[in-house]
Amino acid sequence: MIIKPSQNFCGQIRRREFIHQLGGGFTSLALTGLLGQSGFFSQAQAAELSANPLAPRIPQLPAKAKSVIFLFMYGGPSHMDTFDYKPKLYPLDGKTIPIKTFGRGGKKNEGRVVGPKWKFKQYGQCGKYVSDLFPHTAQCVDDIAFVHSMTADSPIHGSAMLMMNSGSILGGKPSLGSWLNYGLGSVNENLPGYVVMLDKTGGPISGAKNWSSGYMPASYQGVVFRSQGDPILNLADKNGMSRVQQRSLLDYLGDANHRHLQGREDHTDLSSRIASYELAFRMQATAPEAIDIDKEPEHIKKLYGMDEERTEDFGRKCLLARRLVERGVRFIQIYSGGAHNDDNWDAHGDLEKNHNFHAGNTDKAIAGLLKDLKQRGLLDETLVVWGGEFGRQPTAEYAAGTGRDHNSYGFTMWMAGGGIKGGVSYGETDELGSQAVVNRCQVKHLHATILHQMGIDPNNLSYFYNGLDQKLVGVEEIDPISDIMA
Amino acid sequence: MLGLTGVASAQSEADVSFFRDQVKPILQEHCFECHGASDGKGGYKIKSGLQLISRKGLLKGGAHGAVINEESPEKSLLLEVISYNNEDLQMPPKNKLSDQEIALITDWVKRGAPWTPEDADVLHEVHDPHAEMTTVNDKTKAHWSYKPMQRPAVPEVAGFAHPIDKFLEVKRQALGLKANPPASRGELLRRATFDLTGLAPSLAEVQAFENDTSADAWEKRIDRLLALPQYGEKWGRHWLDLVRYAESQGFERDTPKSFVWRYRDYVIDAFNKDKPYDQFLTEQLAGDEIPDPTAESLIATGYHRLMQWDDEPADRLQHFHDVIDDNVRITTETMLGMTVGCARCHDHKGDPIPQKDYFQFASFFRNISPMGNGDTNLRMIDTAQSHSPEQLQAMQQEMQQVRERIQQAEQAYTALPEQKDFAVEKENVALITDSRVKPWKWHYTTKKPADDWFTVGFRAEMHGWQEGLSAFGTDIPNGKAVTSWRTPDIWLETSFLLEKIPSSLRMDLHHDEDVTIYCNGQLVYQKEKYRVDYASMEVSPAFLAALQTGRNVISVHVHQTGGGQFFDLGLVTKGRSIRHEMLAEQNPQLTPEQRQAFRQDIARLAELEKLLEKRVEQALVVAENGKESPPTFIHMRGSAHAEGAQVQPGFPLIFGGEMAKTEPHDAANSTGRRLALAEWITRDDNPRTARVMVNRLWQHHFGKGICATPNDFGFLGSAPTHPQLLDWLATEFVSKNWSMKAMHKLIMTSAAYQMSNRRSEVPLAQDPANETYWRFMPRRMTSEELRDNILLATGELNLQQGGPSIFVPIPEEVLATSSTKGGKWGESPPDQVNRRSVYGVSKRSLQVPLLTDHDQADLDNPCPVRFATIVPTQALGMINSDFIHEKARVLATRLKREAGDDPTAQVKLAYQLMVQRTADEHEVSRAVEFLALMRDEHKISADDALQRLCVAVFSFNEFIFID
Repeated sequence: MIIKPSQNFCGQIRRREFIHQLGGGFTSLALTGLLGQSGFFSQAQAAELSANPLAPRIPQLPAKAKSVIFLFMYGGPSHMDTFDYKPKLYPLDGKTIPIKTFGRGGKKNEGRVVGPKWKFKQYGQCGKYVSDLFPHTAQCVDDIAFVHSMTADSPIHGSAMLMMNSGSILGGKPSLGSWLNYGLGSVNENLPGYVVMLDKTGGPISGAKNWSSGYMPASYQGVVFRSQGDPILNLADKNGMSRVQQRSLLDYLGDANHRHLQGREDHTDLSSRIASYELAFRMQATAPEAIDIDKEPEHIKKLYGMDEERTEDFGRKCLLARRLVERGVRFIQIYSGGAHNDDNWDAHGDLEKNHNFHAGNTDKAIAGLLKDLKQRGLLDETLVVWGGEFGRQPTAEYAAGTGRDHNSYGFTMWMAGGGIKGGVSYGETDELGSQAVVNRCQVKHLHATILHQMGIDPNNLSYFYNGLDQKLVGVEEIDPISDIMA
Repeated sequence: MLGLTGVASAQSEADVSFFRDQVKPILQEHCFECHGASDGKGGYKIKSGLQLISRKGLLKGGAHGAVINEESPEKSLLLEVISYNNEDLQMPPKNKLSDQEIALITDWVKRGAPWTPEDADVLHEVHDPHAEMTTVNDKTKAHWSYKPMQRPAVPEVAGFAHPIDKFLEVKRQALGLKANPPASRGELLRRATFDLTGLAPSLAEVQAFENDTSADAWEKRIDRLLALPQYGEKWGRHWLDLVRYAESQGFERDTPKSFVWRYRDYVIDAFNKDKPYDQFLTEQLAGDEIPDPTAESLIATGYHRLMQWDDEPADRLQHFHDVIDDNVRITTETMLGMTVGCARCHDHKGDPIPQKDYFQFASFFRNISPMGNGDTNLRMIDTAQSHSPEQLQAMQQEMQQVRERIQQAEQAYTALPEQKDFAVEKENVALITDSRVKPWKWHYTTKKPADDWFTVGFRAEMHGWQEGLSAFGTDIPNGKAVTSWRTPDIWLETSFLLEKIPSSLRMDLHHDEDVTIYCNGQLVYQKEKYRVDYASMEVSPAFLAALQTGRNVISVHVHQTGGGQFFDLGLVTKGRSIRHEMLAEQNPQLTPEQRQAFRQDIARLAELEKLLEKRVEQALVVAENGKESPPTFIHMRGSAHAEGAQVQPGFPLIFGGEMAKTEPHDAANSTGRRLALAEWITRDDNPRTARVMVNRLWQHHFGKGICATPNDFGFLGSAPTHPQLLDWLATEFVSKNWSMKAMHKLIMTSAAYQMSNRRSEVPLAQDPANETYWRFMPRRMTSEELRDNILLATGELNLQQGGPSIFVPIPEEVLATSSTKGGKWGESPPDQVNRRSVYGVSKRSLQVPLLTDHDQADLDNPCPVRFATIVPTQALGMINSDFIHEKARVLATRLKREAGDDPTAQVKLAYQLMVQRTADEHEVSRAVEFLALMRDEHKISADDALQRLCVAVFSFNEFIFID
C-alpha cells in the first residue's frame, strides 16, 4: 500500500521523504534506498518510483474511479444562470438591494440585481432545474451530483485559478493532476498520465502554472495535448525524418550508449535513459493512434456535436478525452475558454452574449461525453467534474448592462460518474445566490472528493517539502463530500 | 471576581440545566465532531488544537487562544466565530447556526459558560511523539547542527595526505572498504571543467593535461578554471536556484521585474571575484545599511524583491505578509538551513522553533517598502562608485588594450582578400529604428526641462525623464502612437552606438508639429509645421559632422499648437559593417576561436566604456519606509487579521534567543534591522552559516551534500554522513576568510574528488549508495549545461557576460498556451540567442521546454537540489525538437567545414567536439556505417545523413553524463 496511517498535524515525521532534496545528482539506486525508508512508498514501489516516477501504483482505498475528466469553465460561469435555480431573483431585476459582494470591483454592500437571463425547466427523474443554457446536459441530471455551496479563497482570476488547480492561492504548488499521478502513477506508459487541452483562444492566465508540478519533479506536470495535428510537443518526426529512418538513428544511438554502459552497468540512470528513448519511440506511434478520431463512427461524432461548427471543437476534445480514458490516462483537463475577457466565461459586460456563446459551444459536447461514457460502461470508473474557478454575483458590475462580477462566496460545480451519486444536489446558496449558506464547501473538499474517488485518502497523500508533509488538501484533516458518493 | 475563578461554585443549578438541556445538544451536534470527538481510528479530532467538549477546553482554547472571554463574555471568540461576522473564521464551517441557536449560545456565554460538573474538566490527552524535539531543551541543543561548531582534529590515517581523505578513510576503514583509484586525466578534466564552469573542456585542453607531467599540473588546472568568468556563471546559477530567482512577478499579469538581471549579474560577479561569503550575504540582506554602500551592495539587495507577488490579491494585508513570509523562508533556508515556514501558523512540529521565533525573524523585514509594478522600488545607482581609483586606472589601461586588439583584428580582417562565397548582406543598419520597424526606447518629458537639456553630458535619466517607446503622440492617419503624448510640448532623448562614422545617413522622420533635433549637442535639423507621412531624407553634412564613434545622443523637442500630436524618428546607415561581418557565424574567414575572442573584446569594451562613463543605472533594490518600523505581531494561525502578542526583532531561541540590537540608519532611511540580522548570520561562530555553505560546495562537487538535505539541517533533515568532516570544513571556511574559491581548491585537491566512478564489487555490495565515498558518482548535465554545451559544440555559444536577459526561442505551440498572444515573449538577435542559459529570461508563466523538461529549478520555491529525472518527453525533445534539428544542422556544417567531406574525419571531429576524446576504430566504423545506411537505404543526401548523426550524438549518454 502506498501510504501509512498519518497523524493529524503537519509536522509528522517521515524522515527520509526528501525526494525534493535528493532528486539531483546521484543515482536512482541511492534514491531507492532513501525512499524505501520513508514508509510512504514500499521498498519495491520506491525502487520503481525512482527509476520511473510514473510507474503505476495500486490505490490504497478501493477506487471508484480510474480517471478524471475535469471540464474547466475558465472565467467563472454564473451559477444562478446555469444550474442554481433562484426564482426569487427574477422579480428583483433592476432593483438596487443591500447585498454583500466581493469581486474584481472590490467589496460592496449593495448592488443592482440582474435577474437570471434564462428560463429554468425541470429535468429527469430527480426533477432538477436547469437553465436553457444547458438543454443537453440537462438530459443527464440523473447522473449528476451538483454541489451548489462551493466557496473559494479568492474572487480574482490569477489566484483563484491557482486555487482551483492546486489548492493554494499562491504559485509553486503541484496541481491536482500532478498529485494524482504522484499517488497513482500511470497505467499507460506510452501516453502521459496528465493531459491538458486548452481553448482555441489560448491558455488561461498564469499559463503553465495551472498544470505545474510545483515542487515535485517535472515528470508529474501536465502535458498540453492538441486536439488536431501533432498532439504533443515534439511528437512528430522532424525535418523529413521518417519512422524507419528514426529507427536506424535510434539503433545507432542505442549501440553507442550500450557501449558506453559497459563497466558502468550499476549506474542505472544510464540504462533508464536508454530505455526512455525506446519508450518515446513507442509513444510516437501510440499517441497519434489515441487521437485518431476519424476512426470513430459518425453517430458518435454527432453525439458530441462534432457535426456542428460551434460544438465541433469542444466535442472533439471531449471525444478525445474518452479515448484517452480508455487508454488509461489518469487526469484530463479540458478548458472551455482561454485568454482574457469574453474569450472565456468572464461575463463582465454582456452576460447573455457571453454565456450563450460559451454554453452553446460546450453543452452538446458535455452531454455527449456523459452519454457516451455511460453507454460504454465507462462512466462508472470515470469521474467527470464541471466548473470554473468561481461563480458570479447576483448583481450587476456596472451601472448599465447585464455583466456580473466574480463571486467566490458561493458557486456551483458538479460531478458525475466515478462512484458519484446521480440526481442529487448538495449544499445551497442563499435565495439570491450571493453566498453559500448550507453545507458550505471549500475547494479542498472538492479536491478531497476527487482523490477519494480515485482511491486515495486525501489526508494521507503527502509529499515532504520545506519541513512539512505537504498535502493537496492542506494540513488539517479534511472530509470528502460523502453525501454525494454512491 | 473571586466567584469567576471557582467555576463550579459560581454556576447555579439553573444555569447548569440550561446548558445541559438547551446548549450542550447544539455543541454536540455542531462542534464536537471536529473539536474533541473520536476520529474512529483510536484518536481524536482536535482541529486547531481546540477541544470544545469541556469548560476546561473552552478556556484552554486552540490556535486562536481561549474561546471564552471571562472578563467580557460578549467579546468571546466563540460568539465572534458563530456570528459569521469574521470572514476568516466562521464556525461551524459548513452551515451557520440558526438565529435561535446563536441566541442560546450567546445567552449561555453571558451567563459565564456554565458546564455540567461531571465533564467540565475533561480533556483528551494529546500525545505528541515529537514534543522532545520541538522545545528548546538539552536534547535539541545537542543536535549536531544546533551545537556550536568545534574544530575537530584531523584523524591520523596512513596512506592519505589530504585532510578530507583522512576524514573519509576512517569510515571506509571501519567498513573495510577501499577507495577507488584515480579517474583518468580526461575524465578528471571534464569533471572539473563541468563542475566549475558548466562547460566542457576542449580536446586540446584535455590533451595538454594528459601530457603535463609537472607535479602541480592538477592545481594549475583548478586555478585556471576558477579564474574563468564562466565559473561565476555556473556557481551563480546554484545560488539563483536557492533564492528562486525569476524575472517576473507571477499571477494574472505576470509583469516583468524590471532590471532584476542586475542582481543576477551581481551574483555571478561575486563568485568570480571570490567575494567573501559573509560579505556576500551581508550585501544581499543589508547592502544599503552597511557603512559604505557601493553600487554592488545596493544592487545586491534586489535579493528582497525576487519572490512571486500578486498585484491583485484577494486579501491585501495577508498577501503583504505572504511576501515577508517568502523572504523569511528563503533567508532561513538558504543561509541557515532551517525550515521555519511551518512556524508561521503554529510552533514548528519537528524542530525547536516556536511561532514567536518566526515572527521575531519576520520583523527584520517588516519595514521593507511593499512590492509594486513598473518603476516601484527601482533606484538610480552610480555603477562606477564601487571602484577604487586604482581599479579605475587599471580599467582605463585595459580599455586601451582592448581597443587596440579590436583595431588590429579589424585591420587584419580587412586586409584579407574578400571571398565570394561568403557575403553578409551589405544591409541597412538601423542606428535608431522608427516605430514601423520596431518601437525604439526614448527618454522623454512633457515638463519644460533645464536649459541645458540638449547639451553634451546631459542625461535625461538623471533628471527623472520617463522611458517610452516610439512613436509618441496620438494615433494619426499614417502613424500609430505607442506612447501617449497629449500635451503641447515634448522633449526626448535617446542614444546609439557607432563603430565608425558612416559616409551617409538616412533619417526617417514624422512630426506634428514643429521639430528641433540635436545630435551630441549640435543643432542638426529644424522644421516647422506638421507632416502627414514619414519623410525619408539624407541627413545634412552638419549632422554627419556631429557624429562620433561610441555613444551618440539625439535630443529632440517637438511643439504643437493644435490638433493631433506625433513624433517618430529612425536613423539608418547604409553600407558594410566590419564587425557585423566578423561576428557572423557563417563567415568562414574567421575561426570560431577568433570570432569568440573578438566578440569577447567587443563586449568587454562596451562594459568598460559603460563603467568609465560613470553611467547611472536603474536597479531593483530594497528600501524601507523610514527609520521606525510598524509593530510586528504574532499572527494566530498565520492570519494577518488575527494579531496576537507584539514581538521585537530577535534571533531564534535555540541559538540563544538574544534580541537584535538595531541602530536606525540615516543614509538608508531605514531601521537598521537587516544589518543587525546580517551581522548575526555572518558571525564567525554562527552554528549554521558556514556549515550550510560548505555543505553546498561539497554537494555541487560530489552530487550530494555531507548532509543530504542542504536546506534543512534540523530534525527533519538527514543526519550528515561525516559530521566531523563537515565541521572541519566549516571552520576551515571561516578561517580562510569565507573564501569560496579556497574551498573549491581544498575539495578538488582531495583524492576523493579525483577518484574513478567505476564499479568495484565489494564496496558496491556493501555501500551501494556510496555513503562512504569509495568512488565518485557520475551526474547528468543540468538543463542549462545541456543547452550551453550543445551550442558550445556547434561553435555558436556566445560567451558575452551580463546585461539584460535574452529570450531563448520557445516553440509556437508552447507560446500558444499563454493567455496573451505570443506570451509577450520577445525575440533576441541571433548571436544573443546563443548566450548561456543563465542569461535567459526567466518568466514565471512561460518557460523554455528544453529546460523545464530537464529539471530546471522551479521559480517559486527554493531549489536546493535539482531533480535529475529521466522521462520520455526528454527523449522526444532530443530527437524531434526544432532546436535539436537546427543545432544538428549547424554542427554538421561545422564538421564538414573543418573536417572536409571524408565521413571518417567528420565522425572523429564529432567525438572530439562532443566528448573530448578520440573515437576508437569501432566507434568510427559504426558511425560511418550509419552515414552510409542513411544515404544508401534511406536515400538522403550526405549532408542530411551527417545532420542525423549529429542528432544522435547530442543524445549520447557519454555527452550528457559526466563521469
